[in-house]
Amino acid sequence: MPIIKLLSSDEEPFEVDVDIARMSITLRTMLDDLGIEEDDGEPIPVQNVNSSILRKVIQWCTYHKNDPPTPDDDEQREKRTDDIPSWDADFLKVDQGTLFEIILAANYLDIKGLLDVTCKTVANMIRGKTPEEIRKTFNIKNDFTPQEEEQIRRENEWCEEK
Amino acid sequence: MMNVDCWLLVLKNIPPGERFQYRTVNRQWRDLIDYLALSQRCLQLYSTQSDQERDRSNELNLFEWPHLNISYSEFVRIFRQYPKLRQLSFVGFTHWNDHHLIRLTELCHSIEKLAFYSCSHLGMIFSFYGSNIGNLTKQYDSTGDNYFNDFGFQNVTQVGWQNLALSYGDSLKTLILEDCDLENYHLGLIVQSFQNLTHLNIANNSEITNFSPLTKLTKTIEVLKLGPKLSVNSRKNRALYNHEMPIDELVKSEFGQNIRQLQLQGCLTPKLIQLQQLGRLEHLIVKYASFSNVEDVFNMEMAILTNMAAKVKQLQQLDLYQINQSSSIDLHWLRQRLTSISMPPVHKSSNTNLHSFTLYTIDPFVVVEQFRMVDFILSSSPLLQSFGLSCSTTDSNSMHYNLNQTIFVLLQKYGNKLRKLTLENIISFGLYPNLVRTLLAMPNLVTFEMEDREMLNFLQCMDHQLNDKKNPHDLINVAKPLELIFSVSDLNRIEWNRRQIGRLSLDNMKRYANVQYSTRHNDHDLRMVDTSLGDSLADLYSSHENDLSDLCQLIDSSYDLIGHCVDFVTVCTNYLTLTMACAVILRPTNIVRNAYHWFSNQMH
Repeated sequence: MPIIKLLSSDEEPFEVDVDIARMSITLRTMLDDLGIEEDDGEPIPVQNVNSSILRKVIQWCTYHKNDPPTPDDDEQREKRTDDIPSWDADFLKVDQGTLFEIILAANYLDIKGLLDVTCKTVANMIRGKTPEEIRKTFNIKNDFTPQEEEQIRRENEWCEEK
Repeated sequence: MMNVDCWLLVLKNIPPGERFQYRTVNRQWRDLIDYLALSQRCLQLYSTQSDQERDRSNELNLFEWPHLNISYSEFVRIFRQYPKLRQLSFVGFTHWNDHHLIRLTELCHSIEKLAFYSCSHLGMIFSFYGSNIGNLTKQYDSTGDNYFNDFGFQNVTQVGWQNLALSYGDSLKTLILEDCDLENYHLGLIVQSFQNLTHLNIANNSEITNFSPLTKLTKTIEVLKLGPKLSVNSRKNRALYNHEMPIDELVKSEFGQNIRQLQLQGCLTPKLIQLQQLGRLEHLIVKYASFSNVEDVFNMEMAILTNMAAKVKQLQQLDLYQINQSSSIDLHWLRQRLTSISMPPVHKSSNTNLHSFTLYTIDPFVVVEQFRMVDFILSSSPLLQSFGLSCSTTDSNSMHYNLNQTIFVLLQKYGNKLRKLTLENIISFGLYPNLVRTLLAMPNLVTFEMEDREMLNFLQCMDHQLNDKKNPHDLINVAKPLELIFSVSDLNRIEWNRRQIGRLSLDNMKRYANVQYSTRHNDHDLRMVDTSLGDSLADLYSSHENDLSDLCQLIDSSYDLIGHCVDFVTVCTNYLTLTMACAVILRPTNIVRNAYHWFSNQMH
């Protein structure tokens, strides 16, 4: 199996199977554009992703390397919220900061499966909580003016009354 | 910190109805949620009070509503959020008036698929008495029955329907009006007004008795579903007397030549063989009232179906739903109807195109007789790849009926080309050995699905275990070193209900097997990876039959895990079935055979 080197933003090198690296659309495009098929000595820089997160991303990709491809067409994908495989659920039992960084990395590297499962995990953390609890959980500041707050309360009245 | 793009993706994974309340979190969230609503293309409004099943596979388009009605103002507020909807479904809403439909057409201009399931007040146009409709305190349906509505809602009248037709007549591709109390008027209007439909479903509308307008249905139609609602309770089926499957209308029509999928409901008719004239028909679904407790009638039904299967050679998929009726119907009338056309002799000619056949029945008594149909289909369909059999195995006294073992003999004889086998509620303890033999006779089987009532016991017991505050991982650890089949932690999400139907399927994939089961409201996927039986068996396969003892150890482990509980014995038999099924799928033939012998010995 051909190997390539990836270099995290904090300059830690990672040796990865090409097939695993190609699960990232960003890396795949980069490899194709540069005509790289295996390690030619120069590591590929993965900006924006530090070593601890890149390690997690590689771990996820390695585990899922034989998964059937995720449909590109959003319409064809199942629209479920409870289909997080148990391995992924365990894998994503990390602190909130790490989870968010994995989402950002998955988004940057364009790994649909990882992005999907991480976003679902955060979505499930949101569901069932009140807006105030959400602000507290994710450290979000309420930036509405009192007037805006009143207006949005009126707009949302029908949905809260149900 | 998460960026806007990522919050957008996260919020996208929350169903629209829930998502809306989070507009109050902060400005960014409000804007993102409004943006998502603006770009929403597909929405299903589901009344949580309805007895219709939730479509879990479409949960991220699901908007749950806690009532059977949506007030006019709420309706407007909801749809003002979603101006770009293309696909819209309503499930279980029973209160409608003209204003709902008028405002819907005003607010949503881009609808291509519109579906109403069990929305009863959409149909039954009133015959109004008096000129001041708004002041009516009593309203009457077209049959003259009192139809007073406590909520003050009216049914949709011609005004609403004509508005719907005028606004969506050209744009709508799919129209589903299933179980909506439609009448003949509505069929006429649909045929006349919706000229670009490719999919029309007006099934379960018993008041439509005149299908003659169908002859003028648009030629663009490819999928058509129609027929009266069939109930297990025969008393509700008086409509059957007024219905005949509209075969003449279908074969005479121009659209008939373009139709690919057809669903017919009602009493069987010998005219079904005329469907051979529908040259592009690929998939036929027949839901028929069966009078199986009258032998000659039942024989006629079987003759009609086998004859039809033999003649309609273009079919690739045939699904038959048999809904048993008591003999309270006028049998003289029925016999005349069934024999009014002479039946040509049935030859076991080849169904050259049939790839998939499924037989659904809710009558346990008839199950034992079904092998005649199965025999015919299996023996005459050389290309058959998928075979399904489904029935309810219990009667009202919860007696368990066994499937006639002849069906297994037939499957063993003809099933060597099958790639998919689905068995629903037909397996009881005594049938496992035969099931294993059957699976062994299917070397090409890729997918085996088993929806099994006994699986309920397993889930129920597991649920008890979990509620008993036993750590799910304790259950897994018992089975080490091979570990057990399920990732038990996923069972936490079971919403248990005794009446729910368990579903279990095994799907062969490259490195792992998926286990899926569904309860009435939920589907659950359990992926068996690494710690799974699938991999264990794959490993066993690679190391040949010396590892038979390991397989036995796995089975032993299952016993160790659950043997202390009487109910779990059932579970264990399921595990064994699973074991056999997995083994067959992965084809370590010797192991399966030996394990089967081991299993047989255990049984004795």
